[in-house]
Amino acid sequence: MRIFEILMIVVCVAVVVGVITAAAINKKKGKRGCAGCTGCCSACKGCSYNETKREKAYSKQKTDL
Amino acid sequence: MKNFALAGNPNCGKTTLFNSLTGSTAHVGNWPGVTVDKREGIYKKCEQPVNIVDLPGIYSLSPYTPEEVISRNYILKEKPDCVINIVDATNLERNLYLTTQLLEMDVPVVVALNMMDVVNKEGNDVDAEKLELALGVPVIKVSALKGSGLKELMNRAYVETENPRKGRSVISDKTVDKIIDSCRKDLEAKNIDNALFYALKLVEADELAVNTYPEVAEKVKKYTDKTEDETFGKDFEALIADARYKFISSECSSAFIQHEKNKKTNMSKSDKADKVLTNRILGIPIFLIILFAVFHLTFSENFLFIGALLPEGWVSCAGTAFEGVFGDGGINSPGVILFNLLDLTTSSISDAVASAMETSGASAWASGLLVDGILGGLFAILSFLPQILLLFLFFSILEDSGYMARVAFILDRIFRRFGLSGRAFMPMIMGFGCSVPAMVNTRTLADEKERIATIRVIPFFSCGAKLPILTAIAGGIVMQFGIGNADVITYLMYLLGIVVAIAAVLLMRATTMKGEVPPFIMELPAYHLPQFKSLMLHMWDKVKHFVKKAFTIILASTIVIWFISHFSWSWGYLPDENIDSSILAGLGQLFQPIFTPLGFGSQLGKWGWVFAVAAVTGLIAKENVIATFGTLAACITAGFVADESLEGIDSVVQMISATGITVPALIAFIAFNMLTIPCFAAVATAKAELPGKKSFNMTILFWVVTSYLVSAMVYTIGSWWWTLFIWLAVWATAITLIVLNNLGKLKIPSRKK
Repeated sequence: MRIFEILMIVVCVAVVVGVITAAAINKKKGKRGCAGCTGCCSACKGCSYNETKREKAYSKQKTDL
Repeated sequence: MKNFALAGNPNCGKTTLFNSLTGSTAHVGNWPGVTVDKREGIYKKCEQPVNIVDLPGIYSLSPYTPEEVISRNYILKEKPDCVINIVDATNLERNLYLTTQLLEMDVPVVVALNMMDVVNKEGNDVDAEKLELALGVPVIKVSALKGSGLKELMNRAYVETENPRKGRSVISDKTVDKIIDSCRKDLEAKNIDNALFYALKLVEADELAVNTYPEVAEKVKKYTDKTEDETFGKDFEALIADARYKFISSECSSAFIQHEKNKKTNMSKSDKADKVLTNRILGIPIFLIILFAVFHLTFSENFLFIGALLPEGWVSCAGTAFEGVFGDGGINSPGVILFNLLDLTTSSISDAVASAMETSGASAWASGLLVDGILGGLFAILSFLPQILLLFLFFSILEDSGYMARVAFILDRIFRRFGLSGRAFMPMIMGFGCSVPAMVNTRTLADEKERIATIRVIPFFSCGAKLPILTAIAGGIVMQFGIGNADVITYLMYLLGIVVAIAAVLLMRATTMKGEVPPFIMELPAYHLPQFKSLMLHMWDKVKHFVKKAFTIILASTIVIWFISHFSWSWGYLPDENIDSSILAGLGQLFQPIFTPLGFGSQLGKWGWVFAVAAVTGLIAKENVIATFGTLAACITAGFVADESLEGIDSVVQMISATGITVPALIAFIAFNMLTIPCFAAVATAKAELPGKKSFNMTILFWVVTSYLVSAMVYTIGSWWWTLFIWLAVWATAITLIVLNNLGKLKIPSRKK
């Protein structure tokens, strides 16, 4: 096997494993996994991850004041 | 820190004002217990910083919606230092209704007359002093959009916080004056704050007030039981509402100074447009025409239908720079031109890579993986990006201009009699973009059964991810069979989804999801040109996420599909000609018989399993259906046909050639993929939004059964026209049984617990 063929296999395996791992991590964080089909994630209430982000930002602001 | 609350009707410019005042200090959360947004920010230009709370947009302080209860409770319990009531100056009468209720509370109120720039632009004006005299509170002219009058407003509001204020009633009606006064005195004797407000609510028989002060409520009830108004009878809520409007029209309306030229006609441009667009008879046909125009601009290969005027083969641009602009049938639409351009680019890249791999002496498997697997699958999807973007752009324009709100209004009028309200159509229309936020948006539906029914049919409104399926197969049908136009087929399939959705909801509302149709009140925003910058930002977001999805989920899927289609169960590598012995083929052949009644099963012979596999991979992401065709078509047709530049539509054409699938079966395949279980993300959202596991399981079953039935109908009727009568008989029987059951004439034995 040539080097670039080995490299190709490594990259392909990395992509597949990476996508599966990312999906699992996102699920744990509360993301809905829509991959942003709508293109307007900040306005979407479908993601509890966004809600957590908002609450954290609010808490930080209260501390800053 | 002082607290100011912003209160006003929806679309009065409250959020614009809030953003102008608070800038980057604004943050969004949720009111506890409900999914309504809570916005707070700091205004720093007064003597001291002021905390501003943006209350939800409401029309009144009645307890019918969560927004109204939130606003009312915030003012009564949190006791803000001042309430800034934003009033849309272009719509004084309607906005002042809420003002009259705010005045009844023991809280300083300042009225901000917003959108003065629009009022002045039309040559009109508002006499703020006259209004101030009538209402008894400061009235400040502002324009949140232009940023004018804001400092004056905030300074005035700050000053007012030093002057405690007692509630004042604008009601003057002999039927209720005495009882209101009596209630107020009773409540004041008990040291209850906002006594006047509660007194009025008790006379209106407000549920929350009655539960809070039952003793006083009892006294009111004794009075109202023996009193009857000449006009409103015992409906004291309507009586008080009428009294408020009488005050507004007699004391406040004259504050609006209309220019002479505007006195001739009271109709705005939006009103004139609505006379046509929401017309009882023309409304729906106009909507269908607009929808068709959108699809024509995106998918047509015979733009403006001038192909009929041109001689056959009128121009041959093959191999020239204009190859993608002109087709055999005429001129291509903008969507098709862009598609062809991108297709040309991706084909060039694929050819270059294939050539480079050959030159470098790469193994067959490496070349196959990269060119056929990865690039074949990726480019099959990416080439549709221009058309997806164009469709998204058109739908965004329709939504941002205010037209989609009219569509919900028109549909409500028709379908209310069948148990469906226009409010349910708003989330459904969002489903054209993506099912995930559409399902979340069903939280606005108060009726639980209506909500469940709506969630179930949202996937039937083809989202952006299903567009490649529609486009590729429609294009494949036209190319291979020479039947129809791609834009017409795509348009009809979109309509099929809408029709099935409506029919399914009607069926559910007549059987398992029976219930009252809730009233549908919606403010129609004025028509306006969407902001170019906003549209472009949305589209850029869409591009980013689409490309990200293509290079992650789709890429991973194509790699896995190529791998399991080129290895046997004993892990031996299989060349392209032998992939029918692969793991994927084995799995596909297991599923293949299931799809026989739908036309793309066992009857397709050796390669029919590809359709079964494509449908299953579509569960991960709907784009995978065409990506799968793109990946596998090259392998299936290796040595079968000479042309191996196989992406998107070409791959579908090759599949048709290889499998001999018929047009009805192809349409059934589209229908199946459109109506079946949506992508995993949408399924996860449905699970989160539906109340309970049973409801979710029933929803999955509903999707499977509906897609199977509809596809079977499409295939059988398309292949044997006489089966139409059999299907009609089946549906007629089912509808008769439902009607008889609803009338109580049919007793279906219930299961004993």
